[in-house]
Amino acid sequence: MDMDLELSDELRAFRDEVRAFIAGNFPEDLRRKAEAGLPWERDDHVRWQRILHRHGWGGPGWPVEYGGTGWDPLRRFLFDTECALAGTPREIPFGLNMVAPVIMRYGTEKQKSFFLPRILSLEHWWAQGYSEPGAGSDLASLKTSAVLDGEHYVVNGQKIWTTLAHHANWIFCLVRTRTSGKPQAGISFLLIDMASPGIEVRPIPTIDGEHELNEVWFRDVRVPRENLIGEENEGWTYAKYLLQHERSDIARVGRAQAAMSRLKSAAGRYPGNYGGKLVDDPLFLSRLARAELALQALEVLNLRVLSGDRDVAVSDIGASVLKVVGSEVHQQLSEVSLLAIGPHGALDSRRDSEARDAPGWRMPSDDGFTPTYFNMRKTTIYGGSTEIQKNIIAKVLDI
Amino acid sequence: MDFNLTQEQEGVREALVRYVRRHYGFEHRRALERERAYCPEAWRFLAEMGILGVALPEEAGGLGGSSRDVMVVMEEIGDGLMLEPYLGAVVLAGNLLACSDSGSHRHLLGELMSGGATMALAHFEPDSRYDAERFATRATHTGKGWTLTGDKSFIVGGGYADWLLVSARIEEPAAGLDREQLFLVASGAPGVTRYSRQAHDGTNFAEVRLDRAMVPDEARLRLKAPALAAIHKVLDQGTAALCGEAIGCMRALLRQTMEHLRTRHQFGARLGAQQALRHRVAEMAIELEKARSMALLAARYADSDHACVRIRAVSGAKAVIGEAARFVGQQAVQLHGGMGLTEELNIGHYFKRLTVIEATLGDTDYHLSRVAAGLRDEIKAASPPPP
Repeated sequence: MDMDLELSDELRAFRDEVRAFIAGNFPEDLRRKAEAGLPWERDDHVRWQRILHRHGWGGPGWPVEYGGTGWDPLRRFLFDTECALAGTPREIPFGLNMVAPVIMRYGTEKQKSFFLPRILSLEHWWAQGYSEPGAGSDLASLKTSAVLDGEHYVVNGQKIWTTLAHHANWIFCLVRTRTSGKPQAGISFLLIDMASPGIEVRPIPTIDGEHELNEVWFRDVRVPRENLIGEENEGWTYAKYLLQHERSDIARVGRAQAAMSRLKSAAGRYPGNYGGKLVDDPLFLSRLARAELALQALEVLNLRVLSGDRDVAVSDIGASVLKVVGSEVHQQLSEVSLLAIGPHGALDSRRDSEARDAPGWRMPSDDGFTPTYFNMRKTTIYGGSTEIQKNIIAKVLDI
Repeated sequence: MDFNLTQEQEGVREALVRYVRRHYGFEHRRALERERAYCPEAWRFLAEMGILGVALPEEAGGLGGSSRDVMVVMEEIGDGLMLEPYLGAVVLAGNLLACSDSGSHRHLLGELMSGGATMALAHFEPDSRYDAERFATRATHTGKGWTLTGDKSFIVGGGYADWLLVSARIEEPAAGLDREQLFLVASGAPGVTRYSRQAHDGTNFAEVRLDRAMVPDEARLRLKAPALAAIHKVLDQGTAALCGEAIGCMRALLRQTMEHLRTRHQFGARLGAQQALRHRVAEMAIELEKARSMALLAARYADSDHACVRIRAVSGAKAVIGEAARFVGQQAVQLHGGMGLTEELNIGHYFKRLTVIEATLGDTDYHLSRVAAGLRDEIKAASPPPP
């Protein structure tokens, strides 16, 4: 879809302002890293977040009263898209978009004034302590316990699949504070300092060769009572509230557009099987066209949900449909990207960096395609798997 | 960027929904199909409501609407499984005739909108497949006018048409005249033999043999744009309209399949209690929303005068919707079990309509190729030339 035709003058001016700011402020060394497809380090994220924060754009989804931009969903979408197209380090959502809205809505004044500014500046890097070995899609069966002992909760248990917990200095956890009654009714929402004694973070290496996921172990970790959000045993309510915000950029359309534009450029440069370029191979071109159409459908779907399409079907099941479609588009793009590099897709250049002089050594940006393919399998699993989303859709449709 | 209906569109939609509920039940439709006819009362209703003129230009007496307005109408035509030749007569032929500013053509357009006359676009030929530029009907200028010779096929709604808009190539064009031209031909004119044919879904397609059919000079449409460009545009507008109709059909199938799962019991439980079936319906809903997003895109850009803008949106939509429609149609039949295969239940009729839509004005492969060709040009243009 030609976004230019879709935008009002006001929105186009906004989009241009964002574009100009990124062009003028995205540090050169980070830009080169983005172009080379190299992974971001913790400090890269912190630097970029602080640049945005200084400009007043640290909280693109936040209301003005807490230091946010107060943008509507459409401006937020345009901002995300511009960032993605420029390849800036992606927003770390656990603080900004997950725990922050919960603190704003249910936190005490003290919690708000302590945590919110530190989230904006990324002084606090948050992790999400939800899943457990025995509680994946069935989150309410979680067992990590918190027992009140004077002015402290004593936390014991294990969280798993904790994204970037090795970078985090705070973690928000769902913990069990009551074992009787419905499983959902005995859960509390606790904010835990990762520097507390008794916390151990263990990496979970994944098939893409990266370290993104972790296990987090809690052994008699003492958490001040004042770090409880809201009421004890009401955590499930807050978790559901958080989920609504987690889904605001659920489809990550901008990232998908950026992936598509890299893919198009690759198709024009890489050799094909029949003498021309890859784009001249009819079967590859057909895959590329299908991916382009899937992305187009996603863009419009996303705009429909953002702009509040009154269509009954979309407004009630919109977030779930968007999650399913978005995750599949990301996977489809990563799959076509992998196919685009042909035999080079078999090799892992990170395993033999001494082979840089090898005749078949590819540009780093090409090498990013294979790990991405493996990594993208996560998108249909996290944030409520595709199967969970289909359960939700069927339930909303009242079948 | 508001996707919601305007008040006027909402009014049109509600009027159509009410009409279908009161006067266009499935048994009524079955009777029409047996008689190989459409419903004259329904056509009169469409005329009285101004729906026949929704997208036609104001200077010709229409409402000057857009393809988005047409989509609203087509969705309900699809949902109501209506047999009236709105696509062929209004969207294809009417839009094309509206490009001519001749007084007699304007008059005829008025008759179309009032329900007094119908027309159809006779463009494709037996060997055209979906290629709009492959047609061989010849036009020869004589002292008295033009004679037309050739075979036309797949004329949407052509069996009901009083007038045919016939595309032809002039063998030896005079200076300043394009080779490709359009002619308005009375369907009963001497030299015109019409074969009215019925599709699997009961809709009408005609074929026509033109054997030195004679028409006067004024029958040639004098258009501002070249005739071929006008034909391409109107075919894209028709394709966008078909996308809207497919959405209506899929919506109806999803609605009825959900109701079936709520009420049908097997093994002592509702079908809807089975997760495998619940997920299938969720998948149908997901496909429908993808398809609807693309249909909205098609409606938004179908009226553009830039062919590449239209192709990207319209062909993209038809390709996505072709696959979605096949999935939703097949699964609706599957989830209804044996009943889905019967003549008695409307499920199979929606499935047939969707199958015919897929074969009309370009199937998924055709439209995907068009998108792919555009994509290839875009990539080639952006790539550095070989040293």
